[in-house]
Amino acid sequence: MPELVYQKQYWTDSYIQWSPLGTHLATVHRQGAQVWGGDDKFVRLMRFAHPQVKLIDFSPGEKYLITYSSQEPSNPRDTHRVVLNIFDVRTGKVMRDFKGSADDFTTGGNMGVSGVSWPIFRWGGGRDDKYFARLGKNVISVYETDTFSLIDKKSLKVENVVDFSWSPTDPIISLFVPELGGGNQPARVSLVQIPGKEEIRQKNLFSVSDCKMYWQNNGEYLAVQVDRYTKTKKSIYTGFELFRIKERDIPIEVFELENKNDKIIAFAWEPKGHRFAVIHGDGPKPDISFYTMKAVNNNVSRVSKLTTLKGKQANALFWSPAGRFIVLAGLKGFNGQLEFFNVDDLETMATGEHFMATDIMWDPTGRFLATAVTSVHEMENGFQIWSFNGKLIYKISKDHFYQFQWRPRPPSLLTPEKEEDISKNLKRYSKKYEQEDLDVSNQVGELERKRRTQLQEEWQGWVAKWKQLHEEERAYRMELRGGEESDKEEEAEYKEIEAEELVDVTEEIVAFDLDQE
Amino acid sequence: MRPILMKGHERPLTFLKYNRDGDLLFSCAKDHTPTVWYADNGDRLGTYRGHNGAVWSCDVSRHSTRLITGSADQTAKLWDVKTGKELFTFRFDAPARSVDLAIGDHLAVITTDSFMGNMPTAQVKRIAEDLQEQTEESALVISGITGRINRAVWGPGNRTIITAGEDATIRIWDSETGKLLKESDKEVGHQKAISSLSKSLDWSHFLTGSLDKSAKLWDARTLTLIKTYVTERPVNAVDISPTLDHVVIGGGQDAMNVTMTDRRAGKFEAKFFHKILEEEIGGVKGHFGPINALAFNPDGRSFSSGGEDGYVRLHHFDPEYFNIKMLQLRDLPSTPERT
Repeated sequence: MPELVYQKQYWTDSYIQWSPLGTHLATVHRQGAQVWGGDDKFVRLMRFAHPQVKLIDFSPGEKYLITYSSQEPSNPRDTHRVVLNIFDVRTGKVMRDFKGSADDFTTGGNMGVSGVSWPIFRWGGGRDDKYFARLGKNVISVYETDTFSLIDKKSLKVENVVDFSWSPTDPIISLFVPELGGGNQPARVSLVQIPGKEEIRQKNLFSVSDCKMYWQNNGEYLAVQVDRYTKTKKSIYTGFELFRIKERDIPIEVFELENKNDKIIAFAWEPKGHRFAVIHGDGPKPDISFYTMKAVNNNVSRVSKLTTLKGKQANALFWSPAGRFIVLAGLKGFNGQLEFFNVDDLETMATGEHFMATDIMWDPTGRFLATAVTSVHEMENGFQIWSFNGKLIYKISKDHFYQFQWRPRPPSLLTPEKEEDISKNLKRYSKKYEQEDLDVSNQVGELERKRRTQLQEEWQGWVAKWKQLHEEERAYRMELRGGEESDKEEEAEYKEIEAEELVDVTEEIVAFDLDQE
Repeated sequence: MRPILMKGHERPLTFLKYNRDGDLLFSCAKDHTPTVWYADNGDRLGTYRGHNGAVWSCDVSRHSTRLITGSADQTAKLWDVKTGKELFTFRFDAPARSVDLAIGDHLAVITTDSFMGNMPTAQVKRIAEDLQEQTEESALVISGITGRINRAVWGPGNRTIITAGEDATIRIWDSETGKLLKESDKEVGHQKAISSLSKSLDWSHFLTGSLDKSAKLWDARTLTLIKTYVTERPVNAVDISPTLDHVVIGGGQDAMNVTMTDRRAGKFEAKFFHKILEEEIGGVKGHFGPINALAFNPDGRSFSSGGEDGYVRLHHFDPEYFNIKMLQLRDLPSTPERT
């Protein structure tokens, strides 16, 4: 069962957020945001003034915090007034602010995506917090954090750009420009290197109706899902452009599902891995297929299918952050079906269910999965903790449950070589920890036993008292019953149970007399 | 668990009661006709016809000769258990709700709801052995409670009457004078309406279930809170096992109040808790709607549940149930249903 480490009433006015490396806990209030941290307590470390702040976002290396507010205009026909502040987390200093009308900050474009999508500024280049960028009309504004101004003092001009996405690890932006002029200018996907803004790879795409970009979390692969109209424009089929970012010249491989008319319900890369999973299909029970990027064919890496699971009650994919394992989840209409799947062995480890689950989150190490029902629903609020292979460890009910967030871990202090060494010699290392664990669990067992004994003894006290009172009133009860003797139902029933114990079994070969007379 | 499905009621179940010998099960529902079943195999024995409204509760005499029922038709009726004949009718100015027979079966406490300006009451009636002498006269009327009284029962030795209801407060009254003796502590007590109440076999303690999603165990003489069991759903029904240290709790949101349809077929469950350790030991699923009634058989070897779905489900425990080691979070094992 979990152990409470710290709690504080009225700690936040709206929600909380851990910083990406787990160092801070940020809280949001009417006057601004605050961050808390410390060794064993949570001490307030810094305040960031931003009246009416609604949303916050940390930079990946935790150096900066962006806060956002949107003020309702006094004249209802005006647009909202938006304020964004970028704070240095350590000093609390405002490094830069952005003010404007909501129109300036909505992502426009003729793909029909409108409204403010958070975060407005997306951080790029990994944990160095060197660059942040946002989408504007026909531009991508990329800023660097030495001076907090646009790189080369100007935005990257990309006519009609509708979406962009940073590599999680390198300063590379992938962007998508839709088709123009009724097909005269094809759609395209480009990779742009920052800060130089050189286009390092691009591809034209035809008959595109929509496009989604998915980066693998180590920046090794980019999958671009392209939905295309058929010639008659009546139906959509889907293909993928798979970019191998770390290979020379960034080769692009075109890939389609066996049935390219299948609707794509979900796509997810394996964290730190070479595989991806896709939920696809048109019926009430879609299929789930797994592919690897590392199949080799004539010295060339090719994508190849590992397996397809047919007819699953799933609509969401949750890979373990350490890769290798995945939870195939059926949320909303499927009411919380969970399947724990081992992608190395391609087999199901366990199935489970958390009825009405609204959120599913792996812990940062990939050892535990949390499923939660938040106060989106009126009943059944609470969370459950599962092991990575699908064993339910415990459940906690919490009425009016609002938010559950695992604390992120700081990056490993070990070099990659040392990590590999430990992996190889795991048995040796784990023996020592197993012994430690055993000692701890014996202790816990002891505590629990003490608690139970105490409760049982306390209960026996009650029972003894009641028995005494009951005996004293026996005569009175008899009288109430007009002299009827026993209150047999209150006494313990002494049952005679025949217990058979197997003492011995011997086999004897007996001469069978065929002559039976 | 071999669940036996008993479909006889057309409307949601409201109450279940086993007789002392454990061979008969009485069920009440919103459909006016209390029914009696064989407690072993769920076969229906008969129905008691005469009420014109929902029947909220019932009780049966020690020798299973007389049945008393309370109904929304503003009457409580006495019946001959074996023949089904209606023996006597107590008339009230308001719907009758809870009924409970005292030790010796010569007294019954019946509650009435508030109605047309009348406040809820708990009334004591004498039950005569000879029907000719039966009158409608009340020996005692307890009033002064503002919220609906969902359950009123006799305390140990018939000396007290215990009431619980909408105002979330449990009260102990002197059964002769009607004087209020004790009230449950507001801070540790239930925070929302108490829907159900079940006494231990020796009347020494009792269990209350509340819409505040918890059930509480109390000392019947001192009204001290002893245990609290926390669930995730409003509680409609509770019962204490007569033989093991278990309690069973059932509930779910009333059909009228559900804003989201619970599309899980058959997943409303009766939850079993360890009485002393207050920890969940398992659950039995199967109802298609909230559970409104629960009762253990006096022999502790089976229990039945009544649902909003109109079904009574009868479960005989598997041998495993009697050997439950603490702290295994799992459903109690079930074998395929037999209807």
